[in-house]
Amino acid sequence: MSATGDSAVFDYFSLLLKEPISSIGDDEADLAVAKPDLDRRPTPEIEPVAKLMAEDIDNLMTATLDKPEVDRAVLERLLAPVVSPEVATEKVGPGVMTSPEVKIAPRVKVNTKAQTKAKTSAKTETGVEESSVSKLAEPEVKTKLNASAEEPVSAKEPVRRLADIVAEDLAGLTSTKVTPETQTGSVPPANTGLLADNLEDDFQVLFFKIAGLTLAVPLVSLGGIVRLEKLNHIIGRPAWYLGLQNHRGEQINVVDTCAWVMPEHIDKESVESKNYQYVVQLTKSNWGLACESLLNATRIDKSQVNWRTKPGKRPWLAGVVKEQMCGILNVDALITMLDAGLGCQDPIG
Amino acid sequence: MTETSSVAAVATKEDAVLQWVTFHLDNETYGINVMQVQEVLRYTEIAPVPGAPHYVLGIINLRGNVVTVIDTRSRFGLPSTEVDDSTRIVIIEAEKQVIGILVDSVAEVVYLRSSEIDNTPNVGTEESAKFIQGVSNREEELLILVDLDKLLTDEEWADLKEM
Repeated sequence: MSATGDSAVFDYFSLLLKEPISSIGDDEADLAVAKPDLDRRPTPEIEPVAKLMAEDIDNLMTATLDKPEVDRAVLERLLAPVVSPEVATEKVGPGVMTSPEVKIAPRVKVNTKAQTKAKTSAKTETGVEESSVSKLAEPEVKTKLNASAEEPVSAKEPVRRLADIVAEDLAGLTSTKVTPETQTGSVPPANTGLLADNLEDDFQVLFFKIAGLTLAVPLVSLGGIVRLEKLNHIIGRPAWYLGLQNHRGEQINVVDTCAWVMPEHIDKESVESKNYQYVVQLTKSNWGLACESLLNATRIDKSQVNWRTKPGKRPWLAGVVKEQMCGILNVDALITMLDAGLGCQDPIG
Repeated sequence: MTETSSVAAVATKEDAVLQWVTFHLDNETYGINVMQVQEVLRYTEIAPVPGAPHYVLGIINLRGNVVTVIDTRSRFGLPSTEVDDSTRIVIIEAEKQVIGILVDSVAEVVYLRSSEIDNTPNVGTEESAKFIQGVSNREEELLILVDLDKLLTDEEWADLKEM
């Protein structure tokens, strides 16, 4: 990850933090009441709230950094459809990520049925039937996952930046005033649905990385993972539209994820420094997000996510995974926005 | 037989086969309806027209007729390039006007069924986004189909007529 990418991501989430927090005044008043009368000295206005938030974030960060839990079994289960049967399965200690050479079919069909089976049955290690593996894992494209593709999610830098999002959400939790989060401030986005309502109590997510930013996508919303190949440039498309990639006769509209998520931080240097390797296909749509590396997949509980209760200005962002400190995507809302040609902060109502 | 054959006939009719002339621009392959193509010329000197819009390269004399040549690269928002041996001027008819479009090279005529043409998402905000009629994957190559009638706006077609 380049220094330019770092600063871009950092600046982006710093900007998010700068959104007006209407509740600060109220919280300050509460704190003032709670304070003993002995201390009459004027205190800096926002400091107490900021301190509390900082402590919370520090706690979360420490927890993440100290225990980089990686559920290897879950990762194997996720990769089962994309990995050919000849995958070398090195025995490694828990929490240690290696970079085995794996064969990846260019397209991953997530067999939700098989995943459900895995939950209820302990017949096989992966929970995916051999027949379905052979169907899905066509060893057409052999891909060597680079080392970064398997590095643990709890890398320091993304954690620090995504702490900003968590801070924003914490601020939202303390807020007592309800203010519209839409760009215009009037029309709340429609047709986004709350992702949390559609998920089971525990669910699997895939983490992937773009320009130092980690994002998570629930596996139920994952259409497949495709190696980024030749892109056809289509004239007149927005800057975030990378191009069309043909995949088994179907066209995938590939999104420059970095340009879409952080349009204000895209300059020439960061464009050149991007090294997209994969396309994360969104459900059964023709949209795919370009990403630099796939990190891992793990099963998380709903309570591990700080869910956004209102769709707000960024309906594509369903919430923040607390442990990994990264955003989790609301894929349906994202598709709606992409179909409409909207940017990341445009209202879709 | 009657019912089955009539259904098949309707299906065939709906899945009509169209011919497309393909050309290259900036490493992409584009297709235009063969019915709109009159002829393909080797590059010939184009006389510039003072005060013409930026997308007009100039005019050529085609057997006594003056034909305006459009800078297709500029129209498509692509960078300009040097003229070489493969550069061609495709004479087309659109909006009841005959114009020439400058392309990098002309490839072939292909047959496409309607069912083989996919739509592209209408996410473009630029004028050039409207030119795309659809895409088709053919022999591992993407063919971008251009709607020539939308190459220029109504106003621009009117301006061209008066040139």
